[in-house]
Amino acid sequence: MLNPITRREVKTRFRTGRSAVTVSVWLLFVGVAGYLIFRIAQGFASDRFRFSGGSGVLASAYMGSMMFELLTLLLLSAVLLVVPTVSALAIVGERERLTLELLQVSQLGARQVVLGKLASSLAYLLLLVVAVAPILTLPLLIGGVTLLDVGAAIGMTTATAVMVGAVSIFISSAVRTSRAAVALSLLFVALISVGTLLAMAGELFAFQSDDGQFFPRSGREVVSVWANPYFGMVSAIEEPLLSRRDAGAFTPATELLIRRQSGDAGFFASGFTEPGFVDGPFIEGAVPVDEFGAQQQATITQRRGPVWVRTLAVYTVLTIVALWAAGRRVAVPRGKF
Amino acid sequence: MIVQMVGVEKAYGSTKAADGIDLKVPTGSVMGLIGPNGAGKTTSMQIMSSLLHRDAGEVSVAGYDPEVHGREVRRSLGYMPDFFGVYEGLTAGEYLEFFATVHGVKPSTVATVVQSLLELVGLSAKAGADVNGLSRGMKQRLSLARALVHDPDLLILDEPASGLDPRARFDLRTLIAELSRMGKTVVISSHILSELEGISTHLAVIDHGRVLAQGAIGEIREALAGMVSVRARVPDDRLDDALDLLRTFGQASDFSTERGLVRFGLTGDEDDSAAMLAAVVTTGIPVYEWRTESAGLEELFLQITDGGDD
Repeated sequence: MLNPITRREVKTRFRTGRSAVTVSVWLLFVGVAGYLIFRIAQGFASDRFRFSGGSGVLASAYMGSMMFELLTLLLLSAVLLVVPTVSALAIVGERERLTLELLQVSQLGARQVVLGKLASSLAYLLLLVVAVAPILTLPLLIGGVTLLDVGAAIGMTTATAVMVGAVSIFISSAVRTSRAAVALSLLFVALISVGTLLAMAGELFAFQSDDGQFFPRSGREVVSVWANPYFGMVSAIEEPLLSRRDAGAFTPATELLIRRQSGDAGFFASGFTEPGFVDGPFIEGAVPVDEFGAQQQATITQRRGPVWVRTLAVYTVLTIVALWAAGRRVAVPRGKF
Repeated sequence: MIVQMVGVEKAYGSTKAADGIDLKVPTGSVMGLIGPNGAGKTTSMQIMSSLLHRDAGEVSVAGYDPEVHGREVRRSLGYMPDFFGVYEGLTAGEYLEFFATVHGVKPSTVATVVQSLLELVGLSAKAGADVNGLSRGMKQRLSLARALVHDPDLLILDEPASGLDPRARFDLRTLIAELSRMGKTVVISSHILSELEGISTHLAVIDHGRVLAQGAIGEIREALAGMVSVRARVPDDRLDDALDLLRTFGQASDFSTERGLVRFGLTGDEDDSAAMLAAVVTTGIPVYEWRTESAGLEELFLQITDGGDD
């Protein structure tokens, strides 16, 4: 049976005109962004495959792959903005409406309150994702994208949404005002999205070798990117199929993932072109291509597990800890915990 | 006893909200908790409702310790706080449906429960109305219905009449009396004594986090036997003379005056009252009215809390 809190929130939220407006604006935004991405990908593909003569299928695959990755990036960014702003109001909103005590004195346990809130936040996100599903599946028709790619992207998006939602709900249970809850939740998102990149730069420079190499021949772990949602997403899409698919728009991140496995030297030795060697967009550094820009096979020595597994592990721990802590904040009697 | 609290303490920092509260609520009674703001009434109610952790003492509600068996306690009681929590976009019927569900009412009976409760509180016609649009009195009645959705034996009502107009207050009193007839035990708090007079069968006076007196109202009156309230009406320009004279009698205390009217408490019987009246008349002050009554809750409260201050 659906959690009563989730049922009530879904019912009341979608009853108002505000939801209709939000969904319409979101659809319009993704539609326009999708069109622009299509044109950008088209331009890149046509530039890259202009000498390959008759390789329309390859160009189409490249285009589809790039569209998919950019749309995934867009969706992930939307998740990182929408989930915290919705989830951050979950508990503090009840407190401000003076309804939290009414729930606490009911037969619902703290866990049900917290999970109900998480589910209703994610239900809203689900609506936004389902609404743009036709646009997101467009790359499947164009080519270069497999169902596994789509599954990986959806899986990582879901894991990110659940983790960010859980942390935002904990923040919501710990602060007194909605404004503070939203601000702190967005700060958390900035921390994992941008803060981890700064930490990554620090980590790379801290372990730089005397000859200026960031990665030894055997590669090395980069711990600071584990919690980064964008690296997690790139890893989920790229790493399982690294040897056979185009890195597309994610190449800078992919390059780091490859160097993490094979080191700076291994990166070039494994058949990849030097970044910028092939005429075309900046993204071509990490893919093996022939002189016509056609994609070649390459083998990366997998010395350590993919980043996305670590990202999922970090997110799972964060989610469990955040939900547990939020439950303690909501549980009664107050003052006992 | 459906509720028993022994030596309950609760502090917020250095402020003691409950300082050894001892309270017994007999099953089937309407227990009025009286005390000024900040006396510890809400703290006591939240502790018995399993909402608040106590620092010390023992509590039993329907045979359970709220701290250990919170869910069982919450199943036995309906709690109505001194505020009305609103969910936007819900009708009165949906509001009750939601709370019936979260209180574990069987889905198959929710509709019937909601309908009968709306009828009980006189809001059947408002079942489809937006909760936000209801008047304060209607919201209070809906709030009472919300506390009843799971048919609890014990109702804890924190300042339910606060902010209501006289009509809504009357309706609420009628409802509480009806609930009492239905066999519910009601614990009701107020800092306005007249709200509790007439509906409470029992009384507990709370001040400074302690219960100063408790029991059936008749028992309290007996415990404070001899205390009567006197109301005397004299010409306005002779009020001060009358007051000066009355103050010379040691049995009189707690004086209050209005235009041409003096009230005071008298520790004594009707003979003492007659002697005072004679003294006033003898001095040539016209007395338009001289009425002696048993002490009301207000006088009892004043007498008890004065004792507490000592």
